[in-house]
Amino acid sequence: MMRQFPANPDLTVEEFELNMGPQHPSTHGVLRLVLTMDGERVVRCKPVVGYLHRSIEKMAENRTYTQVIPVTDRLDYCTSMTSNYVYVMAVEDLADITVPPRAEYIRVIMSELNRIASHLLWYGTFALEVGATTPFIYGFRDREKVLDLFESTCGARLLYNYLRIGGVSRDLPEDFCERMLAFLDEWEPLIREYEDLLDENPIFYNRTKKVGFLSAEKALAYGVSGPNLRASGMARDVRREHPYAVYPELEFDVPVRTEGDVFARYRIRMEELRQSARILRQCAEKLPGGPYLEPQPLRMVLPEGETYVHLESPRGDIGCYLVSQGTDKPYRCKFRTPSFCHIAVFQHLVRDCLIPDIMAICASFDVVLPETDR
Amino acid sequence: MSPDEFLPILQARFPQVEFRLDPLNPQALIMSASGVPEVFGWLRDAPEAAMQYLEFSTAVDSPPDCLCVVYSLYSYTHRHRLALKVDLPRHAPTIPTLSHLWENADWNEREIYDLFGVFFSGHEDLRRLMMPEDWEGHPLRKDYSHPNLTPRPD
Amino acid sequence: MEPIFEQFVRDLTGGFQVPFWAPMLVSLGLVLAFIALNAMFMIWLERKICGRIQRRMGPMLTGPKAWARFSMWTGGWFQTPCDSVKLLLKEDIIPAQVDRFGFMLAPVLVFMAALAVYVPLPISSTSYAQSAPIVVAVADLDIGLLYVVAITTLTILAILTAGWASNNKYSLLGGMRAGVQILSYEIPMLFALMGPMVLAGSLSLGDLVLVQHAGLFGVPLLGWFLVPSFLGAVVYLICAVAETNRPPFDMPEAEQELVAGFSTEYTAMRFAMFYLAEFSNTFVVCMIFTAVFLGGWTLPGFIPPSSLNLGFFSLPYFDLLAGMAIFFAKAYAVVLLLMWIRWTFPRLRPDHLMTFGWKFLLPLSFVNLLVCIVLAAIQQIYFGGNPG
Repeated sequence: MMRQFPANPDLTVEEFELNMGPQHPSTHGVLRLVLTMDGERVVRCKPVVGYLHRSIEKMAENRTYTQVIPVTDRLDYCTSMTSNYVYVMAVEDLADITVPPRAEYIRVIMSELNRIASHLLWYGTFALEVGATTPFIYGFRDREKVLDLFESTCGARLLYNYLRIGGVSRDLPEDFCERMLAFLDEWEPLIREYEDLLDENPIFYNRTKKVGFLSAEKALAYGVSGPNLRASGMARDVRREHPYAVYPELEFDVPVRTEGDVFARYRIRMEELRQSARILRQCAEKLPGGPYLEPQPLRMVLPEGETYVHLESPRGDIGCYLVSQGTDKPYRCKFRTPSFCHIAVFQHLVRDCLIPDIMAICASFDVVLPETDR
Repeated sequence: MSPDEFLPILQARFPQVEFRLDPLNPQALIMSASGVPEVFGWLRDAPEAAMQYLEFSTAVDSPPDCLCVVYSLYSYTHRHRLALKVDLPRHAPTIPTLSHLWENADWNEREIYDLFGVFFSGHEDLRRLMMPEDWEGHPLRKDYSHPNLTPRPD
Repeated sequence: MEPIFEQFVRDLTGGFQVPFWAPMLVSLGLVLAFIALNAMFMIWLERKICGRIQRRMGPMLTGPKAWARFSMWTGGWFQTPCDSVKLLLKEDIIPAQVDRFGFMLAPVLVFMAALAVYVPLPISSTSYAQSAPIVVAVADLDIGLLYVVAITTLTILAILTAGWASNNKYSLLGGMRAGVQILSYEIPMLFALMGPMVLAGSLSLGDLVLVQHAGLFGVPLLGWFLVPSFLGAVVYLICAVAETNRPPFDMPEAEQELVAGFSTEYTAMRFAMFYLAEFSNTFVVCMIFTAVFLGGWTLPGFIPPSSLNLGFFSLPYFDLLAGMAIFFAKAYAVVLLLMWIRWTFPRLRPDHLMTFGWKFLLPLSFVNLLVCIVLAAIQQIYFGGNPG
């Protein structure tokens, strides 16, 4: 769109299209944003996804119920435990399997540790987008300790394949709770350090306050969930609304903010780190003994039926819609992932803002592309 | 409100549309395609339903005749969920769009179009989302075949 | 620098008169050698400071392993030479669609500016075998301060050329941002430097240092222009960080947004030119800060003897060496401060950068100028003027 420059009619001004991605050091994964720019200002933004589409849902239709679990790992690799969990929960719901209490507690412990790991990764990359390089190292260094805990349990650092239908694949190591509590004792005061690096810094405030405002109505219309929705004023946490596993017995707060800007999303995730630590301590105290798995046949056959279950992943509301037609393979397995809706919101949010703001906004939403593209 | 409570209200309000309970899914109602925009519009705006949140929409392919589009709605004010399934003929699946009601539907419908071939009439920008622009075929259909697809050893 | 060099050669060879072009070539050689060696050291220092702030060790694997075992500061000494060799050996790619002349000219321009700015910077003074103390600089120009500020604007030209010639939207954006940023921060920098100029009554950097040594209101300790022109020092430091495109002002090269900004398309030696020029400029800016605000090579109340008598042997040019040591110690302290700032703060957005420069730093530098004028007037009236 060309228009004449008012002061000098011989000059024309036109908008240009800039492709941010799919290979770019900062987009979180293989995301392509087609930006129409007027100088430094963005006029329109169209996200293009599908670069990481691996047809996980089609793969799920051709594997037995247990064989699908490693495939769900790759759904959201930052929170692989949660991805496993939502699928396993759907199968257990359809097959009416009760999970032993020890397994429930172990699952909650793993989910919350995963939440901490994911938020630390988010913290590092968010600060990096805004320009501060030091928090990245701080976040990742402490994330390594969480990954060490995971590695001692299931042997993997990122893609766990730990949950099974009816429980978990192996028991926690004997000293797991002591090590986890030692980690929490050492790490919880460090959250203060993370905040010190960024909070109360005028440069950071200018970059994040009043930037990327998302109202509650728009958030609901777009299907936003998780910390992003809580930053816009809606207090919804699946662990509170439709509690699953042992969450009814655990005490924790759900941080909510009303500003709806990048800073609010940042603060909510930092608070969630503290709440996760609180949950973990309670779980370590209450962990019962007993079996960790209700063994199922290798080739499970589920009765005909459908179900939808969802739970709170660090990114938002992850759900699994499972259709079974009485065979040993899922008939249709649809994963409702939070990042899918969050990337759609970019079209609305990334408008009339500068390029640095795009980075701050995209980073504050904590999107991962594998979850979007499946 | 649970689906069986929704059923009589919807049947009374929209007599031209067929509703029935889904035997396989206690959270869902099956409806016919004729009244889709009005029913969903009412579900979003009516105070007793207040479904401001479209959780997801997807499709389930049941050869040889039927392709079923599933919508799951949630309300924050009443904390209730309703899933609605619409059966469409497989050879020409068309359904009016819901993207004017919930912006979330925009991309969900693009994905269903891409992977199942359902055409959403009235959608502003219905093009493929996951697959490349020039891909032929709709991969998640049960009868989809491609030279690269090899069957798994059982 | 000519008198010192000529005297030095005469002493060494017993009366050989150097041709008129020899001091120039020798200065050029010394400056080039200094840029290279300093860059090597500074890059290593930067990476170590970065590591220290980030609770890790920095480069440790290159260099003698035995040394690395002591502490993090003794490891990785050969990292930068290895990196330089690697950069030199890389393939020089010139993309087909670039504007070849501009593409090849930009690194040359940037390095030219980086080299030329060393001319009036004084690092020491000596009175060995001279009739009066002479300031040691390539040439202590009478308009030294003006010259320095003028030469640094050459970088704008170089960066804009690089951004345009690269035929890449990201580079163009980076080049535009850099141009606008450097331009906007030149002006508060100039005004901040005017404060010391008024206090000293001269634009020559050597004179500025000598006036600082003499002291303010007769008190040598207050002499450093950091004291009377404190606001100016702060403004100058901030502008200096902006001029050299260092974080938190590294909008033009913001890796997370623009890949590498204006230097995206450059490889091997051309990229090394930009990188080298950036480090050189950082050090130059610290040198200017030291000379103008921190008293240069002098310490209050201390005048080193021109030759040190060690009994059996007398060390000539001692005041030159002592002055250099003091100068570089101060300059590296400022460098450490800049590195500390770099690894702690996030990046400024372009519009915040502009607002900060024009609406905050510029008025501050005016206030500083006023304060300095008042102080200079008091000095002139009550304390008998300044030696400038």
